[in-house]
Amino acid sequence: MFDQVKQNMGKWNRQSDEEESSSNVDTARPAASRTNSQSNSPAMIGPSIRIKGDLTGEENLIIEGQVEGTIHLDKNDLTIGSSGRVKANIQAKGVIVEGQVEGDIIGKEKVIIRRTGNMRGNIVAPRVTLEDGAMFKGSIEMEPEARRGAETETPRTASSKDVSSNAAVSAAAVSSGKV
Amino acid sequence: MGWLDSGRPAQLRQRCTELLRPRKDIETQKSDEQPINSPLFKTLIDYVQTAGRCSVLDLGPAFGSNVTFFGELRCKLQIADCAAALLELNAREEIGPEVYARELQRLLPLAGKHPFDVILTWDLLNYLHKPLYTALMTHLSPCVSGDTWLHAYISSRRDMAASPQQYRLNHEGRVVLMDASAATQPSPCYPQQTLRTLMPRFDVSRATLLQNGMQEYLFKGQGRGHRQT
Repeated sequence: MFDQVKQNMGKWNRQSDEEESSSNVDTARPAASRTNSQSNSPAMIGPSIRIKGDLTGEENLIIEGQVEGTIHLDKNDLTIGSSGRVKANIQAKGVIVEGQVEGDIIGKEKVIIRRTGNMRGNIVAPRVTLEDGAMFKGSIEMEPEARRGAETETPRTASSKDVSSNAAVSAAAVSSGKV
Repeated sequence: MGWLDSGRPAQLRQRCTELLRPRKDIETQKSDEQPINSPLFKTLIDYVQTAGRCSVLDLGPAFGSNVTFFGELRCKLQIADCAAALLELNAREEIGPEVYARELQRLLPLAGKHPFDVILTWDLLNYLHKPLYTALMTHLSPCVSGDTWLHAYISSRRDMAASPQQYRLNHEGRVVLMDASAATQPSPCYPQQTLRTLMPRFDVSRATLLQNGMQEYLFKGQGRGHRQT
């Protein structure tokens, strides 16, 4: 009986190998071994997925489903697609809003609210673009230092002051969040 | 995050590529839109440009060009987009000041906010009857200091547009009136004395009559200023 189980397991492994080899190279490669430069296509939370909790990661992400909690993608871009519904405070390198967002966004580089986007919350980012037709209610603060602070690995005297002031702004923005 | 990738259908992958493709930001300004002559607004923008890092409350809807303009001046822009909701509130009958206060708190939460440097009301105040007008000013009063400027277009003609107009700024900071409505309704034609009563926390700094029949007002907040010199 044990031999039969081993045989079945081997069969399952072969089958799963075949499935993996038939899929594209990107998904066949273990996610942990991928680097940002290698993964051109971002991860996706599909329309039927609902997540509650803290979401972190090191690859670009598209949300077409529902997320409630917090999102931290400090080195990557986040897109809330047109069917995405997010109730969370967000921190990411770049954020594009095409769906609905309720919460605060801290963008290290830029935040774009597309014409289909609907956002209630506060934005802090060096660059913010709001397309005509987009719905927005909240505050927008463009902080040019945020990007410089984010890009500087070894803080100098002047930039460390900038970073700390940005951190204060960020903390204030997050603490006023509705999530 | 590998689990997020599993089973991703081809159409979703195509969507990913589409979403990540860099797009040229949409140019929102139409060439045929002429800015209106609004000298006091220009004065206000001159002040913002020299003062730097102003805190601006815009009661109107969000426009990309306004966000871009104030962003370039490093202003913090609070977009209230509350005109439609205020008009709904305006239309309700037999509402007391408590209900107004509660609704305004919901529509325009200002708890913990510092005083604003600039408040932009556009032509919204013409459409509020006196009790709601007063309630709005009372609601704003904690965010008003001696350094606060309030800009408003007050109708001086018998008729005015049937609903608040949409104003946005062009790249020079000049006001553009968008799609002016032909439908009209009677205007309250608030005289300056009435405005003083309705806005006890403000003094009229300057007023000028525009070609379109609007009286352009620049109000200055009373009391001590909040800006450090």
